[in-house]
Amino acid sequence: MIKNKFLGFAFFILTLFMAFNFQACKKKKEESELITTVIIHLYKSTVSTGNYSWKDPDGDGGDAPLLADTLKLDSGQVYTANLDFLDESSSTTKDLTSEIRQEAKNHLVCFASTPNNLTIKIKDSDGTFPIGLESEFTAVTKGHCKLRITLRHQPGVKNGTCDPGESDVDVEFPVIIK
Amino acid sequence: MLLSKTIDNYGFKVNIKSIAYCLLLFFTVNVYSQNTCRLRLSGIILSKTDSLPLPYAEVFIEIGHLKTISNFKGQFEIKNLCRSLVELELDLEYFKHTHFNIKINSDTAIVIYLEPTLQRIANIQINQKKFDPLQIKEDEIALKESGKNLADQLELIPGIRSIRSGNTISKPMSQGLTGMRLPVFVNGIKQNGQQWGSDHGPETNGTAFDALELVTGAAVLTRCADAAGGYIELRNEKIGHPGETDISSGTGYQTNGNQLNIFSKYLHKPASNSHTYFSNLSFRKAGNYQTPGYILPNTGLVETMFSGGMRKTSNKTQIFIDGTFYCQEGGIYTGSHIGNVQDLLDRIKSTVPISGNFSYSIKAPKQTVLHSQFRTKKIQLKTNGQNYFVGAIQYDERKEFDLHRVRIINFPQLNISLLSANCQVGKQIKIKPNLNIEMGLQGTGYLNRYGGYYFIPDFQAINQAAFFLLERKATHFKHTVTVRSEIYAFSANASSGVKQIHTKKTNAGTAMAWTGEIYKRKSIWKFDLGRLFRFPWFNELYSYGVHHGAAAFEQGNANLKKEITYKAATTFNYYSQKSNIYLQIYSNYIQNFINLTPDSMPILTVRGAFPSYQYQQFNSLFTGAELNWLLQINSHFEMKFSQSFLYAKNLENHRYPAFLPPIKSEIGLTYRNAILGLNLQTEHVFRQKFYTSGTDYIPPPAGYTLFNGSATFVGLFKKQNYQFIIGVDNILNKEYRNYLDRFRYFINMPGRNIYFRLIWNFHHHNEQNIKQIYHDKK
Repeated sequence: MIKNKFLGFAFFILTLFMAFNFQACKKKKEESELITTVIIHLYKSTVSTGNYSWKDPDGDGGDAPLLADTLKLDSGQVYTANLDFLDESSSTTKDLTSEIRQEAKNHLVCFASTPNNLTIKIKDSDGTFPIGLESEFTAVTKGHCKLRITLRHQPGVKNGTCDPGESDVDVEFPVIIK
Repeated sequence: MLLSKTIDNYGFKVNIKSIAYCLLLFFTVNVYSQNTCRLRLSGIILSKTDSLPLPYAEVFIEIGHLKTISNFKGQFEIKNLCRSLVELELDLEYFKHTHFNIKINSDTAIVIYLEPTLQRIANIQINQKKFDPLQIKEDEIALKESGKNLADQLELIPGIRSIRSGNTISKPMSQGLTGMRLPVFVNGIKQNGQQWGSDHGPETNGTAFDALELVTGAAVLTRCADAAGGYIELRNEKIGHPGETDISSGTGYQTNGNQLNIFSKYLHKPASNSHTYFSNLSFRKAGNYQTPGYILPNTGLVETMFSGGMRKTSNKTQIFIDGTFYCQEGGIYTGSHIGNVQDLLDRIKSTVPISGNFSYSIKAPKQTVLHSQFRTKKIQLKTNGQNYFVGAIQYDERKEFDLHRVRIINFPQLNISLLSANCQVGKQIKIKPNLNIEMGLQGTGYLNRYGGYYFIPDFQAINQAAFFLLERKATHFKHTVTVRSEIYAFSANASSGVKQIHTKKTNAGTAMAWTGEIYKRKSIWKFDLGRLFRFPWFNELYSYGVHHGAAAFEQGNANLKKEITYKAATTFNYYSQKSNIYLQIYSNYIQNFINLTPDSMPILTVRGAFPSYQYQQFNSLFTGAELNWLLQINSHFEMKFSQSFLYAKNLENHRYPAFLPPIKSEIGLTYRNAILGLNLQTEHVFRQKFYTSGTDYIPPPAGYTLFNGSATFVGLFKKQNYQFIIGVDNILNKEYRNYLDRFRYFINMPGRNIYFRLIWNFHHHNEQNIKQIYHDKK
C-alpha cells in the first residue's frame, strides 16, 4: 500500500514536471511590423520619372486609405519599376523592403493590369522563382487602366504563381497611358 | 483486420498487432483472476431523521476501488463483487461519514440510514441538485473526455453543441445561444475572460474538475442575469473523509494529431484535522491534425491547466480556498487566414486546400491564452440557514497573432488583458419547513487594457446586483421564484489613430424567473418561465478593425440597447430501472437580439477589401427540443437514443441567423460485464435547412453519418483500480464538413482517430487513524 501511495505521488510530481517543462506559455519578445505604404519608383532608362504611393496609415484598422497616386506613362515606352513597402504607422518610418528580399523564398509580388494596356515583366529572382520587387512595365496601349499589386506571403508553398499563400498587401493604382 | 495493419502515421510506426496480443494477454490474466466475482450489492440510502431518500451519496468499496453514486431515489447498485467481507463506505455532504463491513455471499440488498450532521440540519439545501443528465461526473470526464476541449467535453450533456474554429478552438452552445449568453462558472465564480469573440474558446478545461453541469431554471438568477442559454458550472466538489488519499492519474494518446495528454488529480484529508487538500493537473500537446485526404498545417496545440486548494469544514463554518491556472497556445489552420475577399473566394473555390506535413510546431496565425484565478468562500452555518461570502480575483490575457505581416513572429495584433474581481454575500434562511429564501448582493469589477492594434477599447466597469429567491415545497410540487436587479456602470477609453472613445455610461435592469417542479413516483415535470437580460459588451459597442485577420472587419454600434430574453421551457424526466428519458421543449423570444450582421459593401484596406460586419439588433425567436433516452435492455446491454432540434428566425426580416445547429440524431449500444465495456455509436447530422440563401459565402454542407466505437477494460493491480480504453472516432474515415465549424469554407473535419487512455485510481485510507478516531468518539 505504501509503495502504491509512493508510486501515485511520484506520477503526480512527474506530471507536474513534464507539464511545466513544455513551457507552453513562456513570454516572448514583442516586435511590431505592419505594411501601410506601397511606393512605385519608375525609371525610364536610368532617369526617374516619378514616385507613386498608396497609403493606409493605420493598416487594416479603421480609417479609409489615402487615394493612390495615378501613374502617367507614355505609350510604347518601357519603364523600370522598383517597389518599396513601408511601415508608416508610427513616427519612425520602417522600410520593410529589404526584409521581404531576405525572405524572398516566401514572397511574390503579383501584377495585373485591367484592361491589359500595360504589360509587366518581373526581373528579379529568389534563385528559383521571381520576386517582383524589380520589374519592367511596358505601356502598350493608350488609355486608362488599373494596376493591381499584391504582395503574396507564400511560406513553404511558393511555386512561381500567385495562387498559394495570402495577401500581405493588395492595392490598386490608376494608370493613364498617353 | 484493423488491428493486423501497421500504422504508418506521420512517420511514427507502431505494430498494432503486437500491442493487441500484449493487451489481450494482460487482460486475460485479469479476467481469469476475477471470473468468479458476479455478485451484486444493491440498496437504498435514507435520511435517519425523515426517511427521505438521499441522492448523490457516494458509495465506495475499498478493495477494487469500486464506487457508485445513489440516484435521485437514493438507490445504488454495485456489481461484480466476489464472495468476501467488504468494507462499505458512504459519503454525502452534510451527513456523517459512515463505514461498516458486510459479508457478501450472494446477491445482497440493504437499507442504509445516514445521520445528518449539524450542518445538514442548518442547511436548507436550496441549491441541491437532482439526479439528471445535465451533469457529467468525474469518471466520465476522465475516461471519455480527458483529451478534448471543454466545449467538446460538454457535448455529453443533452442540448450542448460546440461551435468551432477548427480543432483547437471551440465554445459551447446551448439552445443556439453561446458566448456571453452561456457563461462558465468555476466553483461558483463566473469566469471573466474574453468569451465575447466567436473564435475565443473558454479559458479552462473540464479534466481538472469533479463535475461539469448545465444549470437552467430560476436558480440561474442567483448567479447572473445574462445566462439566456443557462450556465456551465465546473466544480471541485469532493470533500473527502478522514485519512483518505485519493489519486487519479491518466494518460492518453491519439493518432490524429499525435496527441499526448496526461492528467493527475490528488485529494488528501488527514485523519487528524478538518482540512481537505486537493490539486489537479492536466496537460495535452497535439500536432497537426489530419483529414481523410490531407494534413492541416499549423493546427497543433499545447494546453496546461493546474488547480489546487484547501477546504476546512467544521460544524459552524466551511472555508474554501482554491485557485486555477490555465494556459494554451494553439495554432490556427494556415489556410484559414485570408488576405481579402478575393483570396477568400479563391480559397473557397479551390478543390485542393492548403495542406502540409505533420509537425508539432505552432506558428502564426495562432492564439496564446492565459487565465488565472484565485477564489475563496466562507460559509457560516446557522440553526435556520447559512450566511456565505464568495470572493475571487481573475486575470486573463489573450494574444492573437496574425499571419499577414512581413516577418511576423512575435507581435500580437490583438493583445488584451482583463483583470477582474468578483464578490458575493448571501444569506439562506429556512422560514418554515417548506419555505426557504435566499438573498444576496453581488459585485463585479473589470479593468481591461489592450495592446497591439485597436480592436476594443480600454475599459473599467462595475456591475452591482441584488437578488431574492423564494422556494416553496409541497409533497409533490416545488415553486422557485427569483428576482434580480443589476446596476451597471462603465467608462471606455481609446486614443488610437483608429478610434477616439471617451465615454461613461450607466444602465440598469431587472430579471425574474419562475420554476415549477412536479414530482411523481418515477418522473419530474419541470416548467420554466423567465425574463433575462444582458447589457451589450464592449466589442458589441466599440469594436473597430479586422479581428484576428480572419477576413472580417467588425464594427461596433454604440447605440445598442439591452438585450432581453423571454424564456419558456418544459422538461420531462422519467426514471425507472429500465428507462431514463429526458425531454425538453423550449422557446426563447429575444428582444433586441445583438447579432454581427454582414454589410452590403466590403471595406478597403492596404490588404485589400475585407467583408465588413456591424453589430445590429433585431427581435428573434429560438425554439427547439432535446430528447435523450437511455434504455436498459438487460443487465449487460444498454441503448441510448438522442435527438436535437432547433429552429430560429430573425422576426424583422424573416431570415435565419447563421450558425444554427442542424438537427442531430444519435444512437448508441453498450455492452458491459465485469471487466469489459463495448460501445458502438452512430450519429447523423442533417444538412441545415434553416438557411437563407445568400447570407453566407457558401450554403450549409451536406448531412453526414459517423460511426464511433470503444472498448473499455477495468481491472485490478495491487488492489487498486485501473481502466483502459481504446476507441476509434470516425471509424469509416468519412470526409465531411461541419456547419458549426467556421473553417468549413476551406477544409474537412478530422478523419479517423484511434485513441488509447489508461486511468489509474489510487485510494488509500489511514485505517489505523480512522479506527482510533472512531474509538475516541465512542
